Amino acid sequence: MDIKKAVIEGKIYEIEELISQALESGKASNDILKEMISGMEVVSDLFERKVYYVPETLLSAHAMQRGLDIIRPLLNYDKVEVQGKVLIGTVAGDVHDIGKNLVSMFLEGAGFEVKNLGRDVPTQVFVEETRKYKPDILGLSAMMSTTIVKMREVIEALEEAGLRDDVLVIIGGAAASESYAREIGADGYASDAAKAVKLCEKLMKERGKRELVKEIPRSHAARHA
Amino acid sequence: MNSLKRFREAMQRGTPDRVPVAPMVNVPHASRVLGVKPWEYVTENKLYVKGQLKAWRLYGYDWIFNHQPIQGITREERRAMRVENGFVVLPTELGTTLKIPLEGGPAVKEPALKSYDELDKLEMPDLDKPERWEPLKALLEKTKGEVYICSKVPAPFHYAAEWMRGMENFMLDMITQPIEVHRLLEFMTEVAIEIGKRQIDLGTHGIMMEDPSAAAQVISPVHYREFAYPYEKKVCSALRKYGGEVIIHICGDTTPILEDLAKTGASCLSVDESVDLRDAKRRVGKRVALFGNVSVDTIYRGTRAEIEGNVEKCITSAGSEGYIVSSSCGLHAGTPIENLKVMVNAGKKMGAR
Repeated sequence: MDIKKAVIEGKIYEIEELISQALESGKASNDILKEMISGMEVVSDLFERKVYYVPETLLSAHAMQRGLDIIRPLLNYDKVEVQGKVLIGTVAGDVHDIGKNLVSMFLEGAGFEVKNLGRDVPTQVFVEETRKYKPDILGLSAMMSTTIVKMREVIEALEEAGLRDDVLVIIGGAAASESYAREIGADGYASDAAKAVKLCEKLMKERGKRELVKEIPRSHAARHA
Repeated sequence: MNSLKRFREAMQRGTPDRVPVAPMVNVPHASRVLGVKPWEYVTENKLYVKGQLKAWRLYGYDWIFNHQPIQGITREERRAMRVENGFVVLPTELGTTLKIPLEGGPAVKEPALKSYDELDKLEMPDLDKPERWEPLKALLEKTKGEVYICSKVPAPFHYAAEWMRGMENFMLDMITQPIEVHRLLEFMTEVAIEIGKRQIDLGTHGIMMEDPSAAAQVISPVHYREFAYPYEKKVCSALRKYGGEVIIHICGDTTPILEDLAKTGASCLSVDESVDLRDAKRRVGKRVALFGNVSVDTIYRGTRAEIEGNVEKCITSAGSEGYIVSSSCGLHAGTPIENLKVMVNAGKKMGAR
């Protein structure tokens, strides 16, 4: 089995061994990354076409994460092309983060650098992290009808902090909608994880691809923070 | 015809004097109507009953949704309640810890099971404590057979996922350790049946089982048939045999699994706005009553004309036989009282024969 296929089939118990073998046989870590990314592209497509659902997709994403944990320290960052930087989190009061994690993993799979703030993130933390991390795109998620109002609050807080023009804000989650995005002045909405990647790619094209980013944070650690 | 008779007639797929109206008045909305904080409403049985009664009298709809998943809060649970970082933290007897923000509805803070080894130690919540049944008893007593009281039981699949294992773990468990998942689902099925039987003994008119994690955006029809359907069916048939009638609600798309849902033994299916009522009626209308699906988004921020238009579209699509007009899901926090009045009144007017 090759590494791409291991990602597609979510071989969480086999992928580490496969990667070790590939490294031993002299394969470059950057090529392994490319194979995993192309596997994730297939997963994203299967998810969009409703061949894969949440369980299958999560399994693939976890396989990719295990692979990334091995190769991340070995990557030659001068040769990694980064699509853009995305900061993502579920708004305060909302603990649903499965969809947001899928978006985060798909984005990483598509070559974005992602910082995942987790769930139940206070509005001020979004603002501070936007200031520090300087993302191209800020993704906000809300699953519950009771917490969606926090999205508006984050956008207003970014405006107050003078940061709104520096970052594109996109929203998603069961409680969000295209019309709500317009209403609160967000820059985009996506209804599922595959569409979120396309949205980010489109927004980055409009904004112009950023300079090569050399310092990639340990986004895996951030996810579990 | 009073609300109770009207609702029952529709549940039996009959045509009452008008289509019953039954919005899903949940924690944020009932606490808003009562003018208390959501956490006070959730954790004080008396306020919970007051909130539901006040909303029912204010709007004049045809049911009361007795929506607490393991019913009344017990003294022990209240004693264990604490405030942490601006949240009210409430440990439950199922082992799940909930947290309730000062504004907004409860959410799971810590699921009950870190691993399936802990499953053997799991115990049925103590259902003999009188406080569990205070809310249902009070609602029945105060409404004197005027209105249909529908009490919730925790759906095995959804509560196994959200309360017991946490969604992400559970989704992976379905593929990596399916046998353990089935053991957990068996346990949750016992819990649901036991709670439902107690409610039927006390005189609840109907049972509501909400299973949103089984929606077709989340799991495939294949997984639905392996992990959700068999347990929905066990609960529905056990409670039906015991003399109850069950409504299954799934927020999210159920279009691919409507026929399965109709075979669970539920008397009524509550569908989200992503389901076309006309299509649903054609496919399963001979087996089950339908319930839904005025967009909660429209009720939240629509104009009067938009809300009335949505109600009209639902009633035209579903017809007046075996149909209850409701919101597509629990109401959004912040839904204006005026807007819900428009929805309820439109339902009463447009659903009249």
